[in-house]
Amino acid sequence: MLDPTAAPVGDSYLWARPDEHRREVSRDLPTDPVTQARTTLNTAHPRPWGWRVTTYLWTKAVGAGAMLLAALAHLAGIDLAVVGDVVAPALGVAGIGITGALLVWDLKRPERFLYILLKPNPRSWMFWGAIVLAAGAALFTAWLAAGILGAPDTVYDWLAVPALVAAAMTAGYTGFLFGQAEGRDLWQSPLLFWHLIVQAVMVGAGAMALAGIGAGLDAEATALLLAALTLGTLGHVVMVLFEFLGRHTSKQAATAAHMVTHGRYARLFWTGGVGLAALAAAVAGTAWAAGTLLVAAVAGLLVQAALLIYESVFVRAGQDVPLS
Amino acid sequence: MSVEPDLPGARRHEHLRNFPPVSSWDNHVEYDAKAHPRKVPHSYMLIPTTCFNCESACGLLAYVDKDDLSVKKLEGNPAHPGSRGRNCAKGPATVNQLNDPERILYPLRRTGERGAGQWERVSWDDALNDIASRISTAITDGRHEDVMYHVGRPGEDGFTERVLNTWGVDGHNTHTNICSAGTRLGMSLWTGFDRPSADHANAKVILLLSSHLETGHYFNPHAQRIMEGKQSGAKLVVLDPRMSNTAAHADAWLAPWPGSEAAILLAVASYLLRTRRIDEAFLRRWLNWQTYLAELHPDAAQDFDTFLDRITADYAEFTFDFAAEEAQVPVERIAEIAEIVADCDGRLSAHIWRAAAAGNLGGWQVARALWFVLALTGSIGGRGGTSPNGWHKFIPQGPNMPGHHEHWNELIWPREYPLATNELSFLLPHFLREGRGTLDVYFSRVYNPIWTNPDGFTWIETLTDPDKIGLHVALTPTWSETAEFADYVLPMGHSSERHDTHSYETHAGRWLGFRQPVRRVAMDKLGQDYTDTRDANPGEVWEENEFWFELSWRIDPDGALGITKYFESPYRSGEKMTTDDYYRWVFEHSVPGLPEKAAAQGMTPLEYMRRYGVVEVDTDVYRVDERPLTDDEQADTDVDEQGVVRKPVTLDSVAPVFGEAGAVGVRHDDGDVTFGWPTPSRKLEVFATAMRDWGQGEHATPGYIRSHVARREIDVDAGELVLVPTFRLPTLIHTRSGNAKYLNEISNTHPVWLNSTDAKRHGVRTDDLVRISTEIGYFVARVWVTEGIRPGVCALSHHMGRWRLHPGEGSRWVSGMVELSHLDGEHTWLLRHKGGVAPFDSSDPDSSRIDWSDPGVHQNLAFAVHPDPHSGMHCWLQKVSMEPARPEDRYGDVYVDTRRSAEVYREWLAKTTPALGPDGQRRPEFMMRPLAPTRRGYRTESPE
Repeated sequence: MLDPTAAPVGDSYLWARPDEHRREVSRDLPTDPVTQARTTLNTAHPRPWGWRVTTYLWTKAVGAGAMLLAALAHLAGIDLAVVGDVVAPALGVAGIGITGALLVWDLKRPERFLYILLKPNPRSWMFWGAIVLAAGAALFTAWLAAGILGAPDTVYDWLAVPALVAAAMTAGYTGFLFGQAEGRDLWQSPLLFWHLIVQAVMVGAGAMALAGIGAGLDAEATALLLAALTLGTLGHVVMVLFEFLGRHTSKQAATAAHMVTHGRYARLFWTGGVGLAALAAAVAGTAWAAGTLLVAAVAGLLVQAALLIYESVFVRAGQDVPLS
Repeated sequence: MSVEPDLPGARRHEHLRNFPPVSSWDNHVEYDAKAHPRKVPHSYMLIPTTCFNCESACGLLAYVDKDDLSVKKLEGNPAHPGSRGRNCAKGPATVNQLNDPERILYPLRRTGERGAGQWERVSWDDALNDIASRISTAITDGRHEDVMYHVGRPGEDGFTERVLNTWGVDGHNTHTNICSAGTRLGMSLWTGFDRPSADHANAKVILLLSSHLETGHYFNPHAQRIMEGKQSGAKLVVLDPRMSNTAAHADAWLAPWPGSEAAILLAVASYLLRTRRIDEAFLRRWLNWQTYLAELHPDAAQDFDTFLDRITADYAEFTFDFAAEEAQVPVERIAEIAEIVADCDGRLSAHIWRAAAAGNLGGWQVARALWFVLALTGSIGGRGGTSPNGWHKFIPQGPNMPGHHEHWNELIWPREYPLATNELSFLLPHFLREGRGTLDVYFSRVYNPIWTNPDGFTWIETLTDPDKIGLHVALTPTWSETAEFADYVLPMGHSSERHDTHSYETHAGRWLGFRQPVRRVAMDKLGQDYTDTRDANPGEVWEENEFWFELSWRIDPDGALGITKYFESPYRSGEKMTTDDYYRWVFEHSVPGLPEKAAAQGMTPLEYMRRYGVVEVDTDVYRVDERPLTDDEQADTDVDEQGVVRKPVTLDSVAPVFGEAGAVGVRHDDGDVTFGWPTPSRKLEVFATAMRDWGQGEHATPGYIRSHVARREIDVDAGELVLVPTFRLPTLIHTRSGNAKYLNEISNTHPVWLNSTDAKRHGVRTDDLVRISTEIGYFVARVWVTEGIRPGVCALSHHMGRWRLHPGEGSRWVSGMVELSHLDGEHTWLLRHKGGVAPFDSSDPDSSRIDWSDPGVHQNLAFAVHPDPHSGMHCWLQKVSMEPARPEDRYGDVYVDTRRSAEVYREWLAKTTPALGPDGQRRPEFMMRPLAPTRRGYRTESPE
């Protein structure tokens, strides 16, 4: 099998200049100690997915995470008050709305976005993702309406489980979508679906902790948010370390992971992606121990930045390993 | 009736075929790819022509849209026996050249100073009348040699020579001595022919002293046959200081120190002799070993066994250790190559054309040594071996051939270089400056000496001097640095816009290809009227053949000079010859077998050639030297003391293309009378009598001349290196491909290859700028650190470094605007780029998508002329010193002192020994000479 990583570009092609992206990437690719082989000509292959994909991973994580906690709280009989009834669904609706807009914007032909539903490809998670987002949008809107109108608990009883499933799928379906990007081996992890849900809990709890300041939450509700924030963030950090420092199923995945941990993304990854998250976990844990949302709010902010940074690395590195 | 022919390049797989069948070539329907998924059919005529980019002359098939006569694309021509339907990137890129929005569409005349960038559109009539008037006056005044035609790559064999012979002008000048004159001398001395024709497909061992698998002459036709040979088990041996793609395919790759190649080959030869792994029967019959003994060992027994003993002893000094020391490679590698060669069973196909033979002082001896090895292994002329090009090339004759002239132009054939196989064209500016002559009319034909030749600033100084060159006419399809300094720029067509024929030694057969203006052919088929090819080409772009017909007619409008009669139609007395007339006559009378092949398909010969673009004349041509002479050939002959069979000649006789006038064959000791070789002895000359006769007897046998860049000449520790400036890219060709956007897109930079050990010593890394100093100046280039070149040697590819002085005078796909200044006096020149290549607006939207910026470095400007004292070949390799760029340096800078370049010219000129041969001959008659005069012309009026 032809392996494009066997002959990294180096600083220059023979007769043309590599695009800057390929040049930077090649610095993280090992040369064969025997052949010293170099790619001598290629065309530019810019990363098709950029900041919009990174951003929507965050926006829907916040929205889905918030609704996940709101639904869980309701099922557990914990009253999150306005945070659960209004803030969470508002985050959910806004998150899905912005996500949808970014997704459409990211299409090559945005004006054809309805083709996803009108000319569906049921084998594609583009299609199922649209269904998930549509369902989530409907359920979260209903939840929000119930919150604003002061609906009775029965309505929430009906909504809770579907909303919980929709929130989990909204956060996690991207794992399946990324999985369909065959050849992008970094994204092929079987843990990705679960990791996305954990990330959603982290940033959703962070946002709700911020919103919870002054909302008059009781101790149980506060504890739920602090526990979710702490454990979600810890879980994220542990899963990241497991993903990137553990064994990889392919050379391409290992190459991408090495690029993240030791290469061009290392500083950003370790300081912004992992360091910030670890700091947030520590702060959140402290707040949990103290039972104060005020301190947790700091962690709530930190995790937003940490996830954005992490996703920007994850999305870029996944596309950096040359396929040709 | 028409039948579907069996084409050499047609291949089928199940129900698929690689080309449309010939029966559909007049109406081939394809759907418009850009309209997909709608099905929009277009009807095309598929009309063959010949590629105009490199010299291979591969067949092309143009898809001419019947609606608007546009050329949609060009593919390979499956009917072509040389290229067999295949092309390299340069063939299909012809369509870029046709559609280049920047091409020259109308004749232009200078209005300001030469090189000032001021032009006006002029009519063809005005231009022709002006040029014709000057030439006519020169001829009438007896100043024939004031007219010169300077061609880059030769056009149609014999065509322009025919024109110049009608004018009586010895003014045919070519670029050959910056290209292949080294190899040509080495090979001519052995065989009388000047090019090799290697039968790679049937070889057991393929030996390449070049990157021939990827570039070079006949690259595409040869590459496919080299791969065939490899697939049949042949071993590929490559000598190249650079790890080219060719070297990457080699079974044995040796990266010798440049200039040591002859030593390596002589060590192989010595090994073959020592071990007697030689073809004794071949050597006994075909070498002029008797002369070798008589000249070098007159006191020894004059028999073959003694010859073997003596020649073995004579070459004993060329040990593997000696070669390894010269080449700076492990001795085991030399031995390995020798063993592979020794095992070739007479099937050693070998090729050298430029490479070492064009790089080094004494490079011609590399070719001489190579043919020594070929001879010893009995690999000359047989299946899987190496033949001369003359066996595998076909040159037709035109109608009403004029007699040969009697002139001798010493601006082209100076006395200092009697054995130069070709014109000393690159010394022309120096000769003019020395007052050796002047030029009244100078044609540069698809040739760009300012850019391509060494010492380009001296060319500029000369071309801008109206006292040295009265009128400079640039015949060119595209702008070039040289055209910027012309008086007329006359647009000529690209490959599918002109007529001519071509034949090259691509394999052990013979073919004649036909280049034709495809739109004009389509107009013919569609019944559309035209006057000449200008009506079929864009703007007023013409073709050269019609231009020469018209110009000749105007030089001699009333026939008083005796010129016009050669340009009258052979079919309509008194009327001007058309290209149809010319080629109809050629194909009807001058190509064996063509009339019969055409008739078999119900066509005239011209129709056949317009249909297929090529005709195969012969296949499996081997051992022509053994062809017995016919009775007619032997009639009225004498046999001289060497066995040479001769017909009587006079001073008005003319030598054939190869060989001496009158010599037709050789009688062997066993009484056989065969064609032999076109050398003075009609044998393969291990002792070259011509060298002896022209005062260079010390180099009469294959030998080793230490190069001007030999290892001992280079002080590596002082920062010196050998620069290889000649290696080619497979995707570009000299300056011709500058306007092919697809080619530029994939090849648009050329860093200096530098080994990591040299980079470390010089303290530079990839992308660092370095100043590379030559003996006359310096240039500033960018470094690429690689293990792909041997230590001590750096290399900067050919093709790039294009520039233009004024907007509109060059291709913006490839060139950058520059300014020329004189920092230290008028004799000093600094070329500095004002900007690189950048996107631009034009009728082609792709021009706004240019994503490359590097115009490259015009390194040749900084090279002095290095004429080899024997072959006259410019020795391209440079002894340079490298240093990190200085603060004032900018990428692409070239600085030269032309006073210094004149000094270097004189230093190299001083190495020569001007001499006349027997009977006051200026040069050996047997060596091929373009536009040869009669035998009288070879002789000085008063032999000295």
